[in-house]
Amino acid sequence: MAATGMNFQLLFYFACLSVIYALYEDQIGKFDWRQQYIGKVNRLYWEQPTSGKRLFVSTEKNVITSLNSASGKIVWRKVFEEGRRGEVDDMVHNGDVLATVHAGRRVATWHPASGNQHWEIFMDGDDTHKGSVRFVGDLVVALSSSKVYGIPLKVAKDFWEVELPNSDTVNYKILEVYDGKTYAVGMTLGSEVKVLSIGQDGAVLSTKSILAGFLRQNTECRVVQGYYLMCLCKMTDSIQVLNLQNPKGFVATSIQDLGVQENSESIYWIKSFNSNEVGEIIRVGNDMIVIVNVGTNGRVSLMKQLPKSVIADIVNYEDKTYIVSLEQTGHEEYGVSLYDMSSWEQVLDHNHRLHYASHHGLPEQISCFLAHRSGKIVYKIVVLSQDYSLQLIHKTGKIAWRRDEFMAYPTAVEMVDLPVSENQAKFEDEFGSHDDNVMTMFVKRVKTQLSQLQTFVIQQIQKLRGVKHHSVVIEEGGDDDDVDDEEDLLRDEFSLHKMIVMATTPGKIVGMRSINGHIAWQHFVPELNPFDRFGKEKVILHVQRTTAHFPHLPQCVVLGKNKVSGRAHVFAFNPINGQRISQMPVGGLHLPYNIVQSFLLGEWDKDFMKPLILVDDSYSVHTFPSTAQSFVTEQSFNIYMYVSDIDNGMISGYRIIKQQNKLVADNVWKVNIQNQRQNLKITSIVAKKANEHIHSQGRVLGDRSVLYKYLNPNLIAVVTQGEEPATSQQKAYPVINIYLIDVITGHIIFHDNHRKAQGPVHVIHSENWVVYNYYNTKQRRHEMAALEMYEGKNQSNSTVFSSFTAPHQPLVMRQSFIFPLPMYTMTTSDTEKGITAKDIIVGLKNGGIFTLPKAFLDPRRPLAPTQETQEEGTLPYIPELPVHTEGMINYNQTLYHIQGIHTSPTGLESTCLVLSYGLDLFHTRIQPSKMFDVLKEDFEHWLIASVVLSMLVASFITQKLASRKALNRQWK
Amino acid sequence: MASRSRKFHKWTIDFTGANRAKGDKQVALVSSYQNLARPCGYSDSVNVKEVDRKEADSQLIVKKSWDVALAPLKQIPMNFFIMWMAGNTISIFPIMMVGMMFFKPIQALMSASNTAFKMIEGSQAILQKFVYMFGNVVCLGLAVYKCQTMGLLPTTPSDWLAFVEPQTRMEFSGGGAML
Amino acid sequence: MENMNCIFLAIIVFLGSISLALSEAIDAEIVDEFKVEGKVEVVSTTNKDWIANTQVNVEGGLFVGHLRSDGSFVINGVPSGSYVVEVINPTYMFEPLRVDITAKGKMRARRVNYLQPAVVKTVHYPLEFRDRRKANYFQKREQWKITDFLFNPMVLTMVLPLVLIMILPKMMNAADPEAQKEMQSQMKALNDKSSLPDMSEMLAGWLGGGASTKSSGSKQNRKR
Repeated sequence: MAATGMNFQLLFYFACLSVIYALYEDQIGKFDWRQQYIGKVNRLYWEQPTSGKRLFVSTEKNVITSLNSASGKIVWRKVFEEGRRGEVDDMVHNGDVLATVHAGRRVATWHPASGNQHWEIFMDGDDTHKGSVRFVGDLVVALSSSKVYGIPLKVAKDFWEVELPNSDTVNYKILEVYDGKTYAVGMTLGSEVKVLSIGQDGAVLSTKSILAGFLRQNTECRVVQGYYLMCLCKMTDSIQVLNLQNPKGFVATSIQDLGVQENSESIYWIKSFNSNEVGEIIRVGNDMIVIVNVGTNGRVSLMKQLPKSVIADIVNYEDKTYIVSLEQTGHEEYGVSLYDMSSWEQVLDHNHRLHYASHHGLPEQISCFLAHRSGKIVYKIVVLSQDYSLQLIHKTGKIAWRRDEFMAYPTAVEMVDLPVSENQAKFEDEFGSHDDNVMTMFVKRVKTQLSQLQTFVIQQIQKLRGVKHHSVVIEEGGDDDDVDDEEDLLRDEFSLHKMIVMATTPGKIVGMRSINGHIAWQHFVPELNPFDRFGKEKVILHVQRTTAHFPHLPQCVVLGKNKVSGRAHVFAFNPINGQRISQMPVGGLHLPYNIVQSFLLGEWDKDFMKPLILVDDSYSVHTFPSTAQSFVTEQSFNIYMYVSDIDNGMISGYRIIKQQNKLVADNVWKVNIQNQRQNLKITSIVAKKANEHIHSQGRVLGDRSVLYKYLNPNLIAVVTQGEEPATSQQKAYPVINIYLIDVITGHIIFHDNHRKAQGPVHVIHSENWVVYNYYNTKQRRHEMAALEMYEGKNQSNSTVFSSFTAPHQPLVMRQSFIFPLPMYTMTTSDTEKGITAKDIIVGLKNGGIFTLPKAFLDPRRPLAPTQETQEEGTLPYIPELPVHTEGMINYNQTLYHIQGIHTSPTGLESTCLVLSYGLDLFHTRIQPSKMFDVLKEDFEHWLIASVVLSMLVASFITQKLASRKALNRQWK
Repeated sequence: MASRSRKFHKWTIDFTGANRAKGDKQVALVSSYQNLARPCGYSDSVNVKEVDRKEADSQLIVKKSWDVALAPLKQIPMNFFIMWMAGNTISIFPIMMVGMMFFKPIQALMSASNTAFKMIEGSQAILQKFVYMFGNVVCLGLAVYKCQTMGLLPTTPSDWLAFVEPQTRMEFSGGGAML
Repeated sequence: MENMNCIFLAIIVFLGSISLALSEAIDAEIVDEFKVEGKVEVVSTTNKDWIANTQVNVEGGLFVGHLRSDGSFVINGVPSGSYVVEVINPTYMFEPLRVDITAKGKMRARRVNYLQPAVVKTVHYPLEFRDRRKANYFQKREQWKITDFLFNPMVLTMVLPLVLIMILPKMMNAADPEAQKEMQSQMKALNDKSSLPDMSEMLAGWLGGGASTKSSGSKQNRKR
């Protein structure tokens, strides 16, 4: 009863608050784009039996998908749970079914054409075990940590299961099928290998234990030629082979006997997309691939050496076995060769060269599909590169399509304004210099305007001639496909077109045009590894210099860990064209120290560069660029830093001081927010955006007085999570604490504690408010809480804010609301001047991005509305926050596994750019207070013009008529 | 009556009123015979006064001047009514009305010496001018009052909030979780 | 009426206590893993395309279920607890349901009520989801319609007087002249201000009277 009443009220307030922004139907795709990714591919099959029109792929991002092999587009995509539960351990494909095993427990079969599920079986076992799955006859056999299952393809009924012996000590890793028999191979490190062979009816045919003292953690084993278990044994520099059909004992072949002059450390299997490959390709060193063969006696012999080959694959086609190999033939150029394995002859009639951009790194895995076309063998090769990109090569080495799968692994995102044209920059330069006299300024002005006129005339002439204007050559890496022959990278009128700079896990740094999501430039810095921040992979990406300082070039810097040493690794570049800055090595700069903390200084030096401050583990302070050291020294009196140890719940404050000619961080305060009993962990620390603009310094109340906001720029919100242990009276329950801490003084401004609440907690910290969410375990619902801080009705100091003189205890108002949907993340909108109302942008777990006006999350919402609260414009308090589909800014374009949402202001105060990243990328514009600064696009220019015109005409005519009538009257 | 001594008439009109008491300058239709029927159009109740020309002129001027002087004051009740009608919402019509209420008195005051004061003549000119000015000022005051009730006057701190500059920060801080 | 309320309250309390008891049982110890089963149906279309882009989220994607071609789903490996099960489809909207699984594996499905989590309205298990409506993501664009224009209050306030001015006199003309005359006289009577006291005259008389007496006084003085 009450609920319906509430709903009704809610509806009513909705009707009142119709300012909520929603798209019009005809705006689909006008301001937004979505890019769907699948992640790094680990299993790949060509559609069986022969067509090869589709690819079936499973990936590291817990996705199975079907790709169109002609275009690379997704036909269907199934996304599983994040984390271990959704991982695809293995996938196999035969003519009419796909079978997968997830997290070692769940076996499922799928319809390859539609992606619909046939059935799913839950196996006994341990989910840390990597499961595998094979077909035998019309059965699907699957391996869990303790059992082998045989399940009929059609219906998941009457299946058999075989208990694996000693499954608690033996790790059953390998499942293989040969000649109707299923072999399960279990290993015990340092001692033995167990081989079970199982018939199609589920009967155990034999169980054998074979001594294998060579087995170590790094021993890589796989089944080759159907029934030989082959292990690359690094310890003994040998290859050990076991015949599974008749397991008697391992036969060792030393690597030297093969005639390979390498030690075993640099020898490893070439990974294959297909799990049931007959291949036995071994990579030796960096530029040699060998193919080995197991003789009937179990001895391994060398079949073929492929020098210069970077990658190879074995493919069966029409009863023949072929080897396809990519060989480096030049800079950014590879040759494709195809050998018939029986004769070792090149099958291809001429040299096939393919252009392969160096920014993809080396090819890691390939898969080849062969077909006959007009009597000749043609191929399609899928190449997975080091940067996770997937490309398909066909015909004579042409790249048919490329999937930039590194985009599914973002670690940092930034948006940069495009530069104004050179002319415009000169024009603006006029206002920048103060030492010119009037005359020179005047001359300058005339000159720039003349040159503007000149370019305008040239443009017009070119337009008339139909010549496209090209002045900036975009560094496209020479790719022949999807070259953006679009307009120059110049700022548009309202700066709605920006450059999205994104760093990714594999070390790829890309620049994307925000209007269409096309990649403008890319760099591959494989040495750059992300940091681990609260369990998420993050690098630090900062804009050191924006485009506003012509002729200084803009500069961005990425800071991560070095892949090998774990020390700091920096890469700096121009975010507009992607060029490295002058002294930067290709692979980035490897700094000789471990890093504890890093941040960008708020002030810029004389070159308009904001120095990046790096603090190493001995707490001495470095800067990037290093030339900024003196500037930082000058500024150091007001630079402070905080570092938190998230596991121990300690936060320490530092100031930067000069000590013996170098800068060091000096500890000033320490705050311990640990509670040993509850084992609290800091799960998030959120500071305000550094460049946030706040227009209004206070809030107007109903009686028209002002409540001044508490705008402490040094305030951080810290969330800790833990569990209150069980006592005799009560069961254990989770707790959440939120602290607001001034990081200059270490003063805890506010603290709140939620019992029976658990994370994940997402925090938005902006202006004078903090919004966070949590899960209420008692009421079993997601809730959002809002905190707002006010100084009071008087401002203590209207000109400066210093944490040392700030009001000690601001007024903190709080309220919590029910948010009925679980979320991945949330953030707030950001506009140029901060005049526009704020929106909370929530990435929902149902795949939507939802915008909620901040007014709903206002702790001043009154329980009983009065005249005064209405005057103030607060909505009456309703516990449930309204969620409605009109607020979904991505409408029906579902997004999976949203990691974060980045917002960036535009030149239009009303408009804010939004980029959601995760498995999919989605970009759009939002207008939280609707579009108030430009005419709406549906503004009826013609109607209004015609009305005005007709009015003019009508008045003219009636004037004439009236005068004639007056004249007539006079004559009467 | 004096008419008796003169030629006998059925009726006369005595324009001079000489035979009446001075000051009672009434154009009277004097019927010679009381029993005579009144001429058509005659009415006893309508007394047409005839004033001494010069004095009458000056009085007329004074009266007309008063008309001019009082005009603004006379508008006040009307303005009140309009104000009430317009309401306190801020939309085009009330704003137009408030604008008019401001504009009219200001215009009148600005051009007073050219138009209104030229029309005000006579002995009481100073008083009338004062009244005229006063009336306009009252009108203006009314407009201001209307603005006040509509909340258009910047009288509270909230009205100056937009001009409050953001505080400059004295210290700069950065940091986060240990990397 | 009051009785009814009492009964209703009692039922709520009763149900609440049941659910509390249940939830305590749920909070006990994770013993085993169970499966959540159900079926999704879209009645508003016969096209089966929706199955491909539909998935079932348990507790916001903690567990995910994919549909078979008949719309049914099974989610394996769910430990005991209370979960919200949602069907995610970009086109059709489904009502979420809550599934309670006891430590012994007893299943119960009920409506989701965030405001009063203790209120239990059980529904059928295995779960049945039916589309409730199509999702509307868009605003309707306002189209220019002549009726909108005509019924705009601004237009009405402008047009009506115009109509009155233009048409009424014409209508009057049509009527007979006597009536017209009568009306005119009525109007005149209405506009006749002679009966009202004229303020300026009054003031002139009042202030002017004083002045004239003064002046006459001076005249008299002169005569003397």
